[in-house]
Amino acid sequence: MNIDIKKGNKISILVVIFAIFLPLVVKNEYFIRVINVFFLYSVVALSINLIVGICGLLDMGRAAFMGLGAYCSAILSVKLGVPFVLSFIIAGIFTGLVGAILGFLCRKSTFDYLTLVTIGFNVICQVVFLNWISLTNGTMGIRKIPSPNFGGFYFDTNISFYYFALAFLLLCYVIIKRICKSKLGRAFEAIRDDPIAAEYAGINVEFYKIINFSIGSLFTGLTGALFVHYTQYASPYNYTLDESIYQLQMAILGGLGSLPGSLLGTFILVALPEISRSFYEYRLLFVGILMVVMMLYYPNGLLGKSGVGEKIFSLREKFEGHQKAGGKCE
Amino acid sequence: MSKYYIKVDLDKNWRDAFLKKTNNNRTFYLLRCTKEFQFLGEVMPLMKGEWIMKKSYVYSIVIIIALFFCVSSSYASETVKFLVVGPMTGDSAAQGIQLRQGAELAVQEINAAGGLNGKKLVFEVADDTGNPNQATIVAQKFSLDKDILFICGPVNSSCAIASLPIWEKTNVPMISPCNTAANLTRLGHKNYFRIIVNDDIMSRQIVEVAIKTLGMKKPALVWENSDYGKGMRDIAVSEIPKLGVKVVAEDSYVPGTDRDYSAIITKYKGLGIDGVLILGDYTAGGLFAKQAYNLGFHPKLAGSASCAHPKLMEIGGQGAENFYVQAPFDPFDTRPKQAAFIERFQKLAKDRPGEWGAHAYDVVYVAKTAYEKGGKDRASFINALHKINNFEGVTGTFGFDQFGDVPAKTVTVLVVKDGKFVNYEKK
Amino acid sequence: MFLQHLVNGLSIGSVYALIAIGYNMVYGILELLNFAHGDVYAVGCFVSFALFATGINPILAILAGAVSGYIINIIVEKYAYRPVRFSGRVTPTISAVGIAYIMRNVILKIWGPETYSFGLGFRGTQIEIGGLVIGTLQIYIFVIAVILMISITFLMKKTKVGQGIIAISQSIPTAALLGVPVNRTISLVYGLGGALGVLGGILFCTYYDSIFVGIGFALGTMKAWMSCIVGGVGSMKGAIIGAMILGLSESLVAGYLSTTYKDAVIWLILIVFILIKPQGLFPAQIAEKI
Repeated sequence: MNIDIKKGNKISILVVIFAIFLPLVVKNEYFIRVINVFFLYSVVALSINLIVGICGLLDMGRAAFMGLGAYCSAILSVKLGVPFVLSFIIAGIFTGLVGAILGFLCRKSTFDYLTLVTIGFNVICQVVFLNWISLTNGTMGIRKIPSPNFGGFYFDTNISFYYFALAFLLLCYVIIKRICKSKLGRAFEAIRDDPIAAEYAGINVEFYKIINFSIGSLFTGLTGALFVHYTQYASPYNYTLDESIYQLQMAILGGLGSLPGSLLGTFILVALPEISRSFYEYRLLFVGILMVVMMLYYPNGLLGKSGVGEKIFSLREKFEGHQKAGGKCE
Repeated sequence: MSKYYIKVDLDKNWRDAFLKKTNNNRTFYLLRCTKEFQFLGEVMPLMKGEWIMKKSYVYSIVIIIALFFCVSSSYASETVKFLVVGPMTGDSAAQGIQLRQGAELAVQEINAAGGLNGKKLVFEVADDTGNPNQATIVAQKFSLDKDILFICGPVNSSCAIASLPIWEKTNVPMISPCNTAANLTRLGHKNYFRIIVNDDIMSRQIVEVAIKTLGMKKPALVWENSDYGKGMRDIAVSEIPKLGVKVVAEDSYVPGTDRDYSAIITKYKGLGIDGVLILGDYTAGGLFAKQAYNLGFHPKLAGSASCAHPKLMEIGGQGAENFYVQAPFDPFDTRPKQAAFIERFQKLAKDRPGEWGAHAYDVVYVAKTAYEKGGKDRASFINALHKINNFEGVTGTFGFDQFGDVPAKTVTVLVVKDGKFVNYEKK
Repeated sequence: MFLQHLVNGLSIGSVYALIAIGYNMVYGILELLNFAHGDVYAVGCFVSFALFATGINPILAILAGAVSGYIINIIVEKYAYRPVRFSGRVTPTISAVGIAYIMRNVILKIWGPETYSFGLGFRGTQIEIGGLVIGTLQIYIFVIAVILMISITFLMKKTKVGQGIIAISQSIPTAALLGVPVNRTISLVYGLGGALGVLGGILFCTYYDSIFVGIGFALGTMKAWMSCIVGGVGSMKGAIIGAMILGLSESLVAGYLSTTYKDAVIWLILIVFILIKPQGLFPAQIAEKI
């Protein structure tokens, strides 16, 4: 049988196998923890990619949605004793709904206004998290959030969580990739490239914008919930505007429109501060410089079109003509 | 011009990619071509100095970076190591940096005097940016380092709460110079100590000063919207009525961004407020005082511990006169031990120490005492800390209770006169 | 006390107006979210502060600050914005965000996160009119804002350069064909925006007698943006009126509703405003080219 597995798929399978065996070889708890954080942030980057890269809606308030998912799940499981599986899923659906509502309110907004609204939403959410004491415990946050568990089995060690997060990441990655390659994905890309043309081609732009925002928020909310179940502590100080910009940069670095790019970008921005703690002090400066340099030389990110990835692994023969950031999702 | 050749795989893709690369000028190379290579058959010309990329090199670089994590450094056992944790960047960076400076000064002095039983004292600095998530990552990273004997820090109570469970797993003692949230010592963590008086006591004291000493009859509260401000405010709100006075109004502000208090001041002026309690830091205190003065509002002013900083007068100007503050540490203290410390700190940091620098200094000296009492490893260190009574530091005399608090410590009250802090003596 | 709240609101609004004018010049003309506006002029303000601290004449310090704002903006435009001018909406915005972070961190590295006293030695007096307190500084700021608005509108309508700017805001290729020196004019606009921003920033600092790193983003970028949105993009008097409205709302919300939720409420009002009247109060007639 002649199975022509594309090179890209071969690499992915290798990477997954590598990931599965990694914690059996490397026992360093700190290393595993950082990788867990990387897995979670990757899903956020993927969702940002979906919203910003595939559909062209510049969203600078992602951290707010993480917070929404996080607090929803935390409140449900700590204050109401809802089991993890349920609270996790409800958190995701809740965030998706909020995303849909926000998308609906902004359906007619132009690009700039949407960005402004997302920033405003982030600010509002943070103020609410800080001050709605009865619900969120305000500045002290919510403690003793249970680790993820299915009917008695707790994923409470770093290694067990590693596999949970890995499975979660793979699932989200596959789902988002399927979305990109489906009719939805094509509609999103059409909206990004030229909304007016898309409208004339028969795509209901407003509807698809809402769907896009809500799916992206669903994933962000799920991740936010997972995050606080991992660290077992929810605090309003984690969902600031700086956080949003940092997460945005993870998606941009790898390439808006390139899913493996999101993983790469996230890895670089999560790993670098850990490698060099002194880098950590300069991380925002670094992110700033990176943003400018990337936009000037590699607007499609490292793994996007004409990016560094291309030059290393150039497998693509076709070069399309437009210069806008974002490309076909691979 | 000499030509160099490169060996190329028979893999079609790689060869095509290579061809494409040499045909356009903007290419990305890693390996520098320095010698001649023969190809079995086809020869590809390459100029000297051109660079060639090999995929395997990229893979190996990625693997090297990944393996880099696993390397953890540790000092030789001729040193005693501890960790300074705090916000070195972010909103509370000023406090974190002062923390580090206080610890640095203490370490310098101890080492100059011979170290800890002959061993050199060293420390590492970790930045938690005031963000609890970061605090947990820092905790995870450093709790694996077996050489760390104790922690000096953090500054923010929320970071302490988030990271304590992780530190507790490896029983690393944490001595905080600045966490004031009252419940921190009641969370059941056996490895937590702090040498600063907690908010319960501090809040009660400033309320007493405001109502009894200053005689405020219609007080208002302006509090910082953070764990610190909220904690102080909650206690103040329950204590003030006990002294027979009602809180007429209260307002919060966002630390770091809010600068304009004119709306609050106008409102208070209209309500006939005669005294304002500022539960926040010196920036807020100073700005409020100045704006109130400019708007013709002259209430009695009292501020919590974070207001005790020389910048209060610089920012507050004329309005800061007769501003009463609590000071866990007086930056203008004239007592001999304190004055000498202030001078040494100024040499190191170019600024006077506030409570963070002074307390961090004391933490290191307390640790020294515990070490010399037999606290050579983490468990015995914790026991030794509990045995400390009547330690005399620059911030006062104290000993730990069974929860890790310092209940017997006193806090001075200062008042601003002629642009300087003056010790207020209770009559 | 309502009148006092009103006065407070108008004075803070005037300060916002000064900064919004600078912001509007760029935003109105290039429709580009100049995220870096605030942080760039913050650098100019700090330059002013540093010079003033060495004791030179305050007027010179202000001028030096404004000039440095002008120069920095021109350099940033040439190297970070011009190359990506035609690359869609996302790319230039992100580039601007990057510049903002760089500027902010430069300030942090040099001056730290502390708040400093920066009053230019201005000894303001207060005028009391039956319980109402109005500072002379507030009056100056208001007057300066109005003068600037009038002069810039005059500049746009009557001078050749001004007409060039309006042409560019409508269509860059056409303007180029008509002989307008596009790059030079755009640089001029950015530079002026920066210089005006620095002036506004310095007045802001004098008003509160304090300067710190956050005056850039929170004030310049965010408040200016909000003012322009309310007033209508591209309209100079819209920017000013929008700023006044913003200042008033802040004052009233803080005074009568709640200081804790002030930010959230203001944003909520703004979002509702965007959704109802996205063009702002003085909309420019813009047709979108297909």
